[in-house]
Amino acid sequence: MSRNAVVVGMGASGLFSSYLLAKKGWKVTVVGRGTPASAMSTGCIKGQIVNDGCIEEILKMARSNGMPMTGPGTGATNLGTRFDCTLLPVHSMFSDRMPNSITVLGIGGHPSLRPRLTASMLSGWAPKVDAMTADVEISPEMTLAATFRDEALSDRLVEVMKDAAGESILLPPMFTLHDYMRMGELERRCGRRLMEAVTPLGIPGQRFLEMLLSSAVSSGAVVWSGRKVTSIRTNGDRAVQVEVKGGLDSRRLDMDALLLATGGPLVDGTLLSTEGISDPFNTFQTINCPGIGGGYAHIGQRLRDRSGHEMKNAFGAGDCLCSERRSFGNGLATALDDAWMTVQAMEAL
Amino acid sequence: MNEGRCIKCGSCMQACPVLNDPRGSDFPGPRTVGIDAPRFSERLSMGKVSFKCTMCHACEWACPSSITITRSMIRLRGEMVTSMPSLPGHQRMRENIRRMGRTVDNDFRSWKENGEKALYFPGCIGLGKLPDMVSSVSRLLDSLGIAHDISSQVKCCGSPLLKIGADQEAEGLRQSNMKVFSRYDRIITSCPGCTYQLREVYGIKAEHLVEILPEGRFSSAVEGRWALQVPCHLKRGVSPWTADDMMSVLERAGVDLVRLPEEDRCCGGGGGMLSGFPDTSDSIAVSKADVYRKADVRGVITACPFCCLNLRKAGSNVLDISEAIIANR
Repeated sequence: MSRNAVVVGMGASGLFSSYLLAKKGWKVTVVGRGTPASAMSTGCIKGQIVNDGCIEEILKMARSNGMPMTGPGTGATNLGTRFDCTLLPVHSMFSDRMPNSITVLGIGGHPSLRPRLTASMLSGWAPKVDAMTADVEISPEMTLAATFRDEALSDRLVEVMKDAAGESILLPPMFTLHDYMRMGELERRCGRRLMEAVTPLGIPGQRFLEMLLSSAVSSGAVVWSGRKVTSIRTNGDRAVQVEVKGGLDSRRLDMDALLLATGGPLVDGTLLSTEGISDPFNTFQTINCPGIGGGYAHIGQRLRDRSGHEMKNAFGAGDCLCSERRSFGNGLATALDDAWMTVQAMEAL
Repeated sequence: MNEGRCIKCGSCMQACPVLNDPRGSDFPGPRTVGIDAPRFSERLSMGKVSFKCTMCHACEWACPSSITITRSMIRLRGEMVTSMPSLPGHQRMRENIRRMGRTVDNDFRSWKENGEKALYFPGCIGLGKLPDMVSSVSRLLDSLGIAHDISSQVKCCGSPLLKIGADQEAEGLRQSNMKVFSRYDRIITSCPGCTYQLREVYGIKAEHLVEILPEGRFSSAVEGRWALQVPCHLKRGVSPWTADDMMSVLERAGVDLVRLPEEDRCCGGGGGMLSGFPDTSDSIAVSKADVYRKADVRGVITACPFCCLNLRKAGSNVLDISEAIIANR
């Protein structure tokens, strides 16, 4: 008989562990709301991933979603700075074949890449770096995540890029996960190597999250989005039921195992007050650390109850756990690595 | 309110169906109208474009900080109407309600006033524009064994008035409707906007048709492949589980469903947009109709009179869920 897991949190660690658990035959319900921090990330994995098994799973997932990843390597950010990564999407990888000349291409009005600024920052990267603006109309009101859907615009872009001076072209991110292969198509049509600028708060982060979500769904996890776990019922050292609220309705869900992946101390993660970090569910022990290390107390991947006893079937993963490994900008790597380790621990239940 | 939690990530702007429509790009966006503006005294001078919101709650779902953006916007609308002339469409709607108690005129004659215990509350758009849908919901309720009245005494639920800042008039409608409701044990609606209003503002346990359906057994009344249009006020207002219920009821009935990522994106018909900014509302609906056309489906199944109306205008073949299934005895 398959076991029921409830995963709380729809960010990188919540979705990645849901995907892995569902693949291993667990009946997974993942509950979450809002835009997680991972959707605002660069979609590139900066920090170190310790477990080779985890890296393998990410590479496999990326390939099957049409956005192959590679690494380690260096990308160029939308501001022209270096971005060293453990893993990054193939079109963000700059360092494997450093070009002799780069053209930074701004798309008229696209706010995430300012070609002249970026080109001047990039000037040490290659003997020749120049800036160019494609005279393609995109409303200046467009958000950073503006997508590029129009076929006619795509044709015009190819014409513009055929005239570029550089052998490589740096573009702002314009393609969602579904359209990622169009980078390769544009590359073939214009005969240049196309690089996507590593950009936070936009398409790349959303694309990464979309990949995790669609992998979780296709492996069989049930996604309860727009919903929030309001309380957790325990029985001794076991978490047995969660109450979930959504809209004007609320429901209860029984479980054999619980995985908290609620992220850092933001509004829906652990509570942050002048006294420090505390558990919004009033069920588990939290630890305050200086800096950004605080979170749920844990033994391995298992959580502790409020009096410090180890829970048998309640686990944590990602930024919600107290961790001395954590540093700024490393969130995605820790979240994925942690999720992988938690799934191993849950399998041993 | 909780606007101070904003971390300026822009997730709400990316989620907004109005801002992402070519006709809607003059809308200042959920962050400006719902989060920034309410904190400044100049908030009342934003002008009528700040009303260009379908109240679809997509921004609220996207917000990582749980800011109640829609509620802030409704409150702001309430403040703004006192210092600004109404949009012509909103004025017309208000006059209709004053004159006949409903937002649109109707020649509905199939009232059922037999003193049953349950009341079916079709809402203004159903009665005025979609009498066939009202009949099919009523037939479905009959075949589920739910004897019901359709009362000519009930008025508009008041939801559209709240969306244009006419709180006092909405309260008048509530008091009048509550007198009628007191005669019934059960209130059933087919419009998600009404359901939400009756539950949230009236505080009564109104049920949307979709919430009743999981109890029944159905077979399909349609052939070919069909897509879903999940109503905003049902999924993001009443309960996200209703969207799951809609899907599983249709699948169990044997409807060949095609799931599209855009299925829960707003049709453009809500929040007073249909009357206030018909061009923008139309443009959003046309883009949605285009998605359905490209998906090569026979049509779209929804559970909301606004979605029915707006997507039909844009050329989609739209059925209410009550028209897509037949109850098995």
